[in-house]
Amino acid sequence: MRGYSEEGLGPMKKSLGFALMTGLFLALPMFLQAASGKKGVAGSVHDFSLEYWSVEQGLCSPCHQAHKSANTQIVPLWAHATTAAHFTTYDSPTFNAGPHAPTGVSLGCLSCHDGTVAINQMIGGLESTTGDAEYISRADQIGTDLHVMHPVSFTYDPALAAADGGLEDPTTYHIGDTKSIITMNTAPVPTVWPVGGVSIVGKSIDQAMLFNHKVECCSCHDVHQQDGSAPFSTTLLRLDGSDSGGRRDLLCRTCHIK
Amino acid sequence: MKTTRILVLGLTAAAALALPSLTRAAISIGVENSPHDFSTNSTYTTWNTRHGVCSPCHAAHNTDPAQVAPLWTHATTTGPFTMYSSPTLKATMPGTPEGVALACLSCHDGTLGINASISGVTGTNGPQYIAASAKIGPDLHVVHPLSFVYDAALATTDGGLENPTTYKIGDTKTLLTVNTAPVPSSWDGTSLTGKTIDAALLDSNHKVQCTSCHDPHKIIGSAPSSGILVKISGNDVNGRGSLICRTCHIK
Repeated sequence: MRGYSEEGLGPMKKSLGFALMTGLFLALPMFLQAASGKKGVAGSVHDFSLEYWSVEQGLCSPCHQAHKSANTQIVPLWAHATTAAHFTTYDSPTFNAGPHAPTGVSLGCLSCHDGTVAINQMIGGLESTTGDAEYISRADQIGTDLHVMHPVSFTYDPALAAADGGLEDPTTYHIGDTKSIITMNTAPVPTVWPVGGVSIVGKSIDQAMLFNHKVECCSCHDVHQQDGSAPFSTTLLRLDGSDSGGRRDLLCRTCHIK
Repeated sequence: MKTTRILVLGLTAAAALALPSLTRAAISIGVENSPHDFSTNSTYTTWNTRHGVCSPCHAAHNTDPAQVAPLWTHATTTGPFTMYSSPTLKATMPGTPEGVALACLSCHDGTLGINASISGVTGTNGPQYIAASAKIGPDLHVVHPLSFVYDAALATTDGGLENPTTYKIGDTKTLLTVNTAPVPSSWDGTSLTGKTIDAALLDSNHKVQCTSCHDPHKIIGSAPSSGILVKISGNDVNGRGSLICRTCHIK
């Protein structure tokens, strides 16, 4: 390995070298993040197009189809079989919204993640080249006992925020705003957003995270790995990383005033 | 000597490149022998006694004044339709399908016979309805939205759609890390490469219609090799499918 000696370099070359190194130093964090991030379904954990069972090599078709999709439309143009599991729901004396069985788009997520329905089980039957049903790995299973999970499928509106007292008003608090009430009111957003991702800054909680004004699995997770921090997040979190004070748990701190 | 070697090498390379297309099954381009060919199959000749290839849909004279399709002569459905809606749909949806979608639905919604023309049902056996497997609607809430304007403004509002006036078929995708162009390695029909989404897929009013994805005449793009006449079908260079979806959607 041959090293470079700065002694042999003239002043101009030295300053050029310094500038290049500074440039490299500044560029490095961005470069690393851009390289580690995935933006979009292809190559993400939800890319089943190259799975052994895939007949269509579809990137979209494991979940969606353009015709004869599910009557319920729990997910736009939903084509996957829907879980019929009985769920134990979350409740707590401090939970003002009350217990809610999962509905809507969360049922879409749970249709693989509760572990009761195969990933390749479509409304029209099993999509498989081998006849095998492929279930989600245990590590990615949420299960049917949701009393140990953050509640989903409940309406989060200004009334709930007022009743709870510890939640931002989802219609007026915007992603990137400083926090209400608390002294250390740093905006719970990452200092660096993925390059080329879909910005959620400036959107209200209702716009950026709620579905029909409800908290669902997708309030925190972006299944297509595009929005906010999701491209860099191994669990597809819309808000991930550290704020300007170096503190994490950005997603929790977006809605909760703690 | 050297020239000969180069020539042999060149011919071998040419043969190797040409081979895939030589060994492929013959692909039928056009209406003849397509699912829309009602001219000779005995299922249809009970009413299509003149063996018309075009006449089930078109006539040269006295066609439907509404002209939902050029020189349209088939009876036109009146539904009624339930349209698609979703909290994530940013487009302005009409209350009912419009334009050429109405032509497609005039057989595919199952309310009219394939043999229903503007001058009545053709033949003596009554209306011949489409097979259940090919029936779409009239409940369209489970069907991709159609008959809405897809313009640059919608792309901006949605945030997950390509700009239909600047994104061209064959372009790599914006935003995505795996940004492979969602096109097959070659077209079996007329090439769509280099055309904007607006030019290649939308109707003259810049609307998404059934014909945005499907070519009823089985000529355009991948339609000749697609069982359901999809204009952009097959797999991209990495082996991934869902090409038609991924043309407009950035996911």
